[in-house]
Amino acid sequence: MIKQSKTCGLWLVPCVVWLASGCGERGYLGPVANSHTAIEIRKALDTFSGSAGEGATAGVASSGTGWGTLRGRFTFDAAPPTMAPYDVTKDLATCTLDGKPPLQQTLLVDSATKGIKNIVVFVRNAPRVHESAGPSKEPIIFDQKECVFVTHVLPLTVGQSLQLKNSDNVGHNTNIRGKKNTFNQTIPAGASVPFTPQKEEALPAPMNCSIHPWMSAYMLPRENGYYAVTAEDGTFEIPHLPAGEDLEIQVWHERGTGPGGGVVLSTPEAKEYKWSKKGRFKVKLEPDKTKEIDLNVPETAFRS
Amino acid sequence: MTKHHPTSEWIALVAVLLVVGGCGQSEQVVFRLNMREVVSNQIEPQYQQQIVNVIEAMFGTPDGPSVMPEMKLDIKHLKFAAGPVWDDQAGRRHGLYRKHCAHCHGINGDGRGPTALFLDPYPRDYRPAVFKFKSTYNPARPTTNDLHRTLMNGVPGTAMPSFALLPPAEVAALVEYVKYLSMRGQMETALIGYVFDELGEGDDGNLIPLDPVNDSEQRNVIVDELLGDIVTGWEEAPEQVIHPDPDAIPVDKSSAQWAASVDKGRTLFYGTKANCVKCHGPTGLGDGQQDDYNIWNKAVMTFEEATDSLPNQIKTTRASMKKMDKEQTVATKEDLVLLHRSLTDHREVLEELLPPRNAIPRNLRQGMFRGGRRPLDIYRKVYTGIAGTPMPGGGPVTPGAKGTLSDEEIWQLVDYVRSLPFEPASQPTRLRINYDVLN
Amino acid sequence: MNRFWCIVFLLVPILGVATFIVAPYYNIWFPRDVSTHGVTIDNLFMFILWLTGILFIGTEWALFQFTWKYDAERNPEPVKFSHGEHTLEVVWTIVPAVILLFIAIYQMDAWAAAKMRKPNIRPTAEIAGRQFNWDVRYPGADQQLHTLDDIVRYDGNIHLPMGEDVLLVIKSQDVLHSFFLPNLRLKQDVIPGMEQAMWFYAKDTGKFDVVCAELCGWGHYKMKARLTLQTRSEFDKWLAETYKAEQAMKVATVDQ
Repeated sequence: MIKQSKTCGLWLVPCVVWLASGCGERGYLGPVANSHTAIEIRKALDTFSGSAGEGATAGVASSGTGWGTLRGRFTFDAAPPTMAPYDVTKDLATCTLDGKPPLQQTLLVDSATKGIKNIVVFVRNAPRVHESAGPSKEPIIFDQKECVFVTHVLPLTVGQSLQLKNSDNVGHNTNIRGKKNTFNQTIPAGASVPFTPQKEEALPAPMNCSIHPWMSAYMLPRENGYYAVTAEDGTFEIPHLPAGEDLEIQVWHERGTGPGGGVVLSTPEAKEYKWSKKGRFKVKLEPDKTKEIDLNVPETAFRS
Repeated sequence: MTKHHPTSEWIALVAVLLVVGGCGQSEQVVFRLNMREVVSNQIEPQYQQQIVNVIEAMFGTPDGPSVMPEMKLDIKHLKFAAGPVWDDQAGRRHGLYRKHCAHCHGINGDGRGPTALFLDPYPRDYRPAVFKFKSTYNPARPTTNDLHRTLMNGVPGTAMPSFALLPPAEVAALVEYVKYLSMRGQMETALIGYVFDELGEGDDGNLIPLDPVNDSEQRNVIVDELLGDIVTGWEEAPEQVIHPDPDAIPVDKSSAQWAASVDKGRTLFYGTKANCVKCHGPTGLGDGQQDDYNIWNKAVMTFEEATDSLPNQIKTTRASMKKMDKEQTVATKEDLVLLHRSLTDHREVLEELLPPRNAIPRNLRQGMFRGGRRPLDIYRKVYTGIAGTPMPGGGPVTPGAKGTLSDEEIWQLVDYVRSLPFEPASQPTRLRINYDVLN
Repeated sequence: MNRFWCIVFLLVPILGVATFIVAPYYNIWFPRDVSTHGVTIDNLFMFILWLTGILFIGTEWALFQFTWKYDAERNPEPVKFSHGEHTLEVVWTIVPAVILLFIAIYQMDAWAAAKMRKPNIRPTAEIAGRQFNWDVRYPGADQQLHTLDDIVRYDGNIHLPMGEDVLLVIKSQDVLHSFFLPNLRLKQDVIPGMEQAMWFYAKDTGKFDVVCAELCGWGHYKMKARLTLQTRSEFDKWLAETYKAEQAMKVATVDQ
């Protein structure tokens, strides 16, 4: 009879160990609800039903008087980045100039002033609104030419009509995918299709074209006119803001590192404004005075 | 005779039992949060626990669903659809969702069941409440009839089969459960958005808790605003159904009129007014623009890009520390810790997500229409596009408005699209193999 | 082997035969046959069952006898080796060969009727299997498949006429499936890339099962359809109604 080797079964041990280790929880699946707490919460929610009819949010109580202006400038703290060209895969005759596709617009820094373009600054939860900053009814023309949206970032008020125009000789379709507003219609060459956003968005909504997917823009419908987009030199100005009370301002850029694109600054100057990880800061204006905010934005505040 | 050592046999037995027993699969079935949304919005673990508690309070568990009266859902249907699969004394089947749907659509309705990875296209994720095959305008929810129709017909060309052979009560229960999972997913996203927007660090430096038990305003927001918005969307769906103008519907076309309509449709198809060929291809084979994404894959794509950008951000942050003073360095070190944690979270969640795929336009020459092949179905697709996909609409955006294409033009396009599979180019003659020549 | 185990061994064939005798009383037997050629197939089945059954009982009894009579405890003498018996070997080679030949020739007609003698009529429908659904396409008014007026249904409700010859074209859209109509005694694997034909003459109306009989993936177990056999007039009426519904250009019902 062959002698049984003592090590013949040893290969099974690592197998068992591997099996045992593989049988744990994989990945980050998130928390499981606590049933007792859930029951408590349900009781509380059930007692609520019945007070429908009251105004949903009481709104932020107003505690100040007068109106001020917020003005500022965002400059880039490093060398202005060079933008790569878009990946043009369709309608090359219309979408390229002399065979060269247009450059991307994701981070536009002016070489002379180092100002950052297309940063959106807007007020969240305004306690009161000046009559000049209320919702507007004026239609805005939003054009696309040579397969590029002419306006890259467009804030507007809810109820304002966007005339989506196509100045090219090829068809486009404008696909707007916001959290609260969606739109997707084909826009024939030379024609115009209106779109009126009905709800306010918390952060700018992306727009693109399905036929030319490299085309990209953003639109931000807000309930009041307290918004501004930085110009090429990085300056912005929002007049007629409520003075004498804390205003929470959101700062957004399409390559901002905060969730949804907030510009997160951790420089000492930003800390004075209690800049949050969501790209927001608080400011209190004095009546009939202008507050200047000039901030130098480091490279690390933008996604690569 | 040497003594036989049975140790190796015992180890083998234990190993087999472990494999057969199924390591840890006896854990209870639970709902999980939409971790992609949670991690993208950097929701702290404390809030995650609070959010999942509120969601369970409002919607219950996979075994025990519950609804609030505001949701207008029928709990009787849900009780049949939820829970483990078993038959009661009267012979009625329970656990319908788990029996018929969960293996593809997942227990959450997130389209990530165990078999989802092997399917093209992926099963639907109900949580954004966007459904492709419906009769309503693009931004609107589907009606109950639409969901019922999808279950009855299946989706031809995909792995979604027809459930017409089930008793009508079971189909109705499944439709209700799909709506329930959809509302639950919407509520998750709404709560995550609310927590991100309105809550966070308070003035005292602590996180404001999501505590509807003690905070009546939060209760107000959750039930009135967030849930109210969601339910209104579903309730309004029947008003958003696209009804073709009865005066514009072509009737009793003679073959000459039909051919004329198909010709006009062909001109529109290849023209710049409707732009069909840009995506559907110069010959309608679906080989036009194939670089775009539908919203479900785009969300994963965006998440993937964010995950990929984090290592670089860590690198540049670390590099920028050299120029800083002591106080700033401390703060930046904290930032780096958070960034590293975020990167781990992102990577772990990304592992669970399905690899994103481009949205390939339909090959119209195959005659396979996923949303239905009746002229009415194709009319609606051309009129308002297909929600969630790059397919745009050409008709009016709201009832009564004027669209790019008139009703007549849309019906001509419908005629052309329906005739496309029967054009000579779509039906190449099959040649008989001449074996003599081959040999 | 001691005699206790001989008895245990005998229980196996006893139980085997018992299940066959008892099965029909538990409804575990042939499904109801509504076709005309099904009786030939059932007869073939029963013939082979009886033949093999008798041989089975015979051989098992012989085996039991040998194990009982020659168990080791009662037969201590050493075994005598026999070099075989030539006549016996010839007999038990030729007899089974003749039986097999008989079966082969007997079933040829049934096989030809089901697989070779295609009726010379236009296809009544085309059935396509895909993972995991059976789709059906009817030719429409022009009697041609794959034209504009086809009626295509994906909901697994296959309607076909009874009381006449029916010809089906069957195919697969992705992997191997098998179109199995138990109540018509028909089963044919559908092979991707290959169009095959299946035909029958049904004698009765009713609703019957259609299942997939070739493992085609994880959903194979639930790849089912329902076959509804109707009289020709009812079938034509159903086709006309379905065609009208498929050509819908407006909303007929109130949506909820």
